[in-house]
Amino acid sequence: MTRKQRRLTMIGTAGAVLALAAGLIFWALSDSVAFFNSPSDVMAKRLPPEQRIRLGGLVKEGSVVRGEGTTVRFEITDKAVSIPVTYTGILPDLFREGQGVVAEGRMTGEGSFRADHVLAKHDENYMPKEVADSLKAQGHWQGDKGAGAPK
Amino acid sequence: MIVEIGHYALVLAFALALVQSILPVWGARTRDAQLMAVAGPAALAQFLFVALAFGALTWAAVVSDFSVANVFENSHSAKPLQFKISGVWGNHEGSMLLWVLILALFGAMVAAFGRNLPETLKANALGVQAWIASAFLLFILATSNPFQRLSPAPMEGRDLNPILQDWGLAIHPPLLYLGYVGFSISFAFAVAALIDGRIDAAWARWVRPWTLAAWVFLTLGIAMGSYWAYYELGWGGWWFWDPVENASFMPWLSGTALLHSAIVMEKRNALKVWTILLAILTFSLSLLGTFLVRSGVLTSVHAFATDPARGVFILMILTLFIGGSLALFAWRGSTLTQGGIFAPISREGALVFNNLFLTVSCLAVFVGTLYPLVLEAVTGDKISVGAPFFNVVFGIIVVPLLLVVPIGPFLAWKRGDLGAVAERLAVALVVALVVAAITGWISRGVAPVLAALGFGLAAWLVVGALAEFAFRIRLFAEPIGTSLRRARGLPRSAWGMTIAHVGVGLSVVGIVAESAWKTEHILIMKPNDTVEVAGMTVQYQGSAPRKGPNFQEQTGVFAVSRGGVLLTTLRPAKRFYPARQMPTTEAAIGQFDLYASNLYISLGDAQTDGGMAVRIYWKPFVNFIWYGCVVMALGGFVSLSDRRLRVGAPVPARLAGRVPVGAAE
Amino acid sequence: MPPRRRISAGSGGTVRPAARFCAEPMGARCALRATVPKGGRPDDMMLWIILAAMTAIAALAVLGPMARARQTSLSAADRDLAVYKDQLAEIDRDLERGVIGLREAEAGRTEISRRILKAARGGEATAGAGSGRRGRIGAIVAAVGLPAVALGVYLSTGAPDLPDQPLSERLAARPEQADIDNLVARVESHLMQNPEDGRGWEVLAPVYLRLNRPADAAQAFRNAIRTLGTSPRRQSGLGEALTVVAGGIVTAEARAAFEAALAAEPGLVAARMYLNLALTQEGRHAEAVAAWRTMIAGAAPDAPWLPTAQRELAAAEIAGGLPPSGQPAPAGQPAPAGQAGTAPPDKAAAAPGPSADDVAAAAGMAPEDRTRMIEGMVARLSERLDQGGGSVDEWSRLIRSLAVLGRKDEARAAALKAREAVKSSADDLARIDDLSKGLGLAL
Repeated sequence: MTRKQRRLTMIGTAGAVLALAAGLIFWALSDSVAFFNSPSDVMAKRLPPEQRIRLGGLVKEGSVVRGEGTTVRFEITDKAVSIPVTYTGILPDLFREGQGVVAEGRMTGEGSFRADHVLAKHDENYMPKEVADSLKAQGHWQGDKGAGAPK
Repeated sequence: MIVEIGHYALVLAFALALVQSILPVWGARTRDAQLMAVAGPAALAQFLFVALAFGALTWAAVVSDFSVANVFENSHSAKPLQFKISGVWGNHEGSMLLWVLILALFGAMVAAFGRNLPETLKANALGVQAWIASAFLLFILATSNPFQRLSPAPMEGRDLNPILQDWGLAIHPPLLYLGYVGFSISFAFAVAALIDGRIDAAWARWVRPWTLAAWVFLTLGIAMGSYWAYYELGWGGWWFWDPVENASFMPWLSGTALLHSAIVMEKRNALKVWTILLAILTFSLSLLGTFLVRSGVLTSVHAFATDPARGVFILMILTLFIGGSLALFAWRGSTLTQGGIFAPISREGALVFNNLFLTVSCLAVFVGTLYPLVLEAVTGDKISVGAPFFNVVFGIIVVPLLLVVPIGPFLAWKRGDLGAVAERLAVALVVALVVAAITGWISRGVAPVLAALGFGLAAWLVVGALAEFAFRIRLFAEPIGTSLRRARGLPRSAWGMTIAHVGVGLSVVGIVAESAWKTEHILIMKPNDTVEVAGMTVQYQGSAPRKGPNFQEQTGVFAVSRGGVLLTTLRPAKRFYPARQMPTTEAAIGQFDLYASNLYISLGDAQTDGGMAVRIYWKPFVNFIWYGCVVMALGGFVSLSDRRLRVGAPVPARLAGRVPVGAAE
Repeated sequence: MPPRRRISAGSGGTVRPAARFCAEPMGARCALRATVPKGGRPDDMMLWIILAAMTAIAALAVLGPMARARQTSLSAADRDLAVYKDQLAEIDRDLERGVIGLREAEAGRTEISRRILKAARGGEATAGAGSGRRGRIGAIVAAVGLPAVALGVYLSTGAPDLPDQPLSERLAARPEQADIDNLVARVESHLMQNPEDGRGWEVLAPVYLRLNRPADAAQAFRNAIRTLGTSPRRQSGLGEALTVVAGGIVTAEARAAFEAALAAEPGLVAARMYLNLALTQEGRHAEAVAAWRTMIAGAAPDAPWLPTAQRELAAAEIAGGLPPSGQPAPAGQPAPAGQAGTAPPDKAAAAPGPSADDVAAAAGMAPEDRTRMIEGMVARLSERLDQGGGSVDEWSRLIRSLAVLGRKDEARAAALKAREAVKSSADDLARIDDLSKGLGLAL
């Protein structure tokens, strides 16, 4: 092989690997992306149960039922619509009523949401960005108060 | 007065960085020795002043000077001393100051140890370093000044966040920053080479130790962060593919590629342009990491209060440096002469393979991390990319890479012989297959394929690395004494490589064992209930309240026994800090199998009927994940201590080919 | 949790955050306290001497090497040669110490020799030492530019007149001046150690509220409730604190607290007023009007909260588009608190309100004096904001006050001015807009 051919082979191989990887990435992406939804979105869209989503909003005050088995029930609200959520497992420490939360999982047939992950951040002033955006969209955002507002 | 001295020192450091940005680079262009001579002392003085500023801020935190806004907001007079100190970098302003301190430290080290460097390269590299320093010092002074004063000063500080008072968080950021910022040296050298239009094998020799040092720290930093998340969050997970984690992982991947491509460049004078590009990309990814963590554009489980306005500033720095360096690369990259040529089956070929797959895996992480940002910007849809994506894509890409790891070191430079390699690796292959068969059979009911593949791969990595070492010292081929002498004579970098590759294998053991064999029990336990976990009996003996210095906790007591013999007692707790109304989960981790496996218990909510929600994990060999990282870092450290790295003279390959000892790498 | 007040230095780094902290808790006391920790003269001098010395060191770090480089002006090739010789020597040293093998040492020597040859060949291409002109420019940069940049930046961001204030020194220096902050700090650290001391929380909570630390106040009320059990006062205080935290909005949690308070003590005026306010905020105007009317109807004619209630009633009627009731709503008579220590809701919400002393003074005045005093304050604020501008908090306060006084047109004008003044910040703009909407001002 000449020098040029060798170089071309190398570049060709690298290109092929890249192309394969790109294909792999996009195939996997289409499979494991979860769309963020507010409770209102969920109501409006009637999502199919098999679709994985992230549901974000505030934990509705007074809705958390703990201490009855390993499954915790609560509601996620954007102050317009509330969606009941069930989660089996142990909630993060900063999960609190009235605080922002993002739950990942699927809708069940009966209009409730089964979460397999619940995120609440370790900064007590934390409000997940999507939640803040969707609350702003709903007009429940006190801009000047920063993330700590909806106490 | 001390605070104001610190503030002024920071400003002076900025002014010095500006001078250092301009004069040496100008001097290098005009070959003016006088101007170039400024670089070193300016870098040393810059470090001195940043250190002074950092010291002043630390002093203010230690004596609780609440006239400093940063101390007021992030400290409290009742904090224990060590957390007053670690709290200095536990907040945004302080951590940026630490970032710049480390940057200045690396610059000063180049100035101090760089006597061997050609004048123009040193002047340009320190000049480029000063550009970065100027940008970040300006960022600190303009948007995040830690020396803002309050008058009148409040009597008490704000922050006593219990979750941040942790030794893990105290060590983790400095390690991570040493890694991130260390890559700025490779970046500065790369840009300097582009400006100079001159690059040779010796250049790689100069860059390698810095890259290696940065890589060692980054490896430790990532491992530390992962371990912290594991024991502190109480979720039992050790890696979440979270944006903040990915932000540190991407520079690690490309930095690892850079380490290996620098070898090719040094030994064979090939892959120059690529190495330069990698150096630029690695530091760019570090900057990107800083941006992602600091701007809060992505949702992450990790704790940082973020401020979009600062994000915009960092984004500007990011664009300036990445765009600028890539443009420079496009403009000047072609002027660098291409080097040697080699066959696909050769040491170089294997290292190119390594680079290709590391880069592609980095690309996959990059796409997965930033795709949500791009999509939101384009369509407004908000999405998240979950762990399954990363597990699948990263796993598929990284397996071929790991398969080749033991083969590469056996191949000769220029032209290798696969047949001979296969012969030498036969032992490793047999061991790997046997291990795969055994582990597959053991976990036949659980995850046979994963276990067989994973453990086989891990055995292949470990035994392969050791086989190469054994071959090099002619173990069993010659008397043991000769072999030992040879082992002693081996260059440190050869030791380093073997150790680091074994470390990779150990981490794979941990990851696979944890994924394939972990068991999870979420259940309600009443006092004296028992549950069988991994052949052990875990008995919940009840819970009792306990009062700590500034918290109260409900501690569960779990007796762990096997065959009626009590092994240990674990006490996970649910802690509550009343002053801040903050609950924390304190998982209890029992060490088994010689500190390899963990029994991990965390408490959930107390039940209305007197029971307790409990989460129990059995995590076999999970500690290997972090042991592996430590071993990898140790390998890097050993390699770093190799004197040859600093001499700057490579061993010509033709000589090396004949003499096995000389082939050391 | 305390809402984090981020002090952004921003571009206008000259505005020291001190002013903001001062404005918030209590205007009058602030001026007094600001004068306390002034640095002594000798200290000031000392600082400037040290800063000058530091500047000199920095300048020397640049000038020194330039001077030295002139003395030893080698060509670049010479320098390269020196470097390579150094490398050769290093190989010898390493060989002696046995760090590298003989073969490697030889290979290294060969490689370095090759480079020496190369460097010698390329030697003629390199220029000599520095030219005089460039050296002079460099020297000017170091001697003039560097101190100028440093001083310029520092004078715009630094606070050279502020001495260090370590806590221990401050506590030791003025025990007799133990002002309220100091006391609070002591109680706080006591409570940090003994979080179960409910009495401590109970004492601290209203103090927090008066110091305008509503989030801390809410936390303290919660702690008091947790340790001492619920009581109408504690619940009502909690609700009030939560309302202030939320910028005057009665949140669901606050409402729950007020309801709990009322359930135990139906006569608790403050709680009832906040609940009525909540009705208005939720747009349930008819119910709000009814509630206010009921409340006013049952009031003693000299109840101190009556004017506030009537004003709120009028506001609710206007907001709901209902016909005004026959009750005379004495415009411009914002009454003070219905209960000791509680300010009217909408005033408490505007962060930098009149100081506690002002409110106390207003409580003891005749109605017309009180009105005059308040109108005077509003006029002063308006004038100041017109001339010098101010924070969004101050603008909000002005708009609110004008609206409360019934001067809607002026409120609207102030809101427009405020929008102009804070237009650089989207958050602030949104705040003004929300406020205007809340007050029923059509912009």
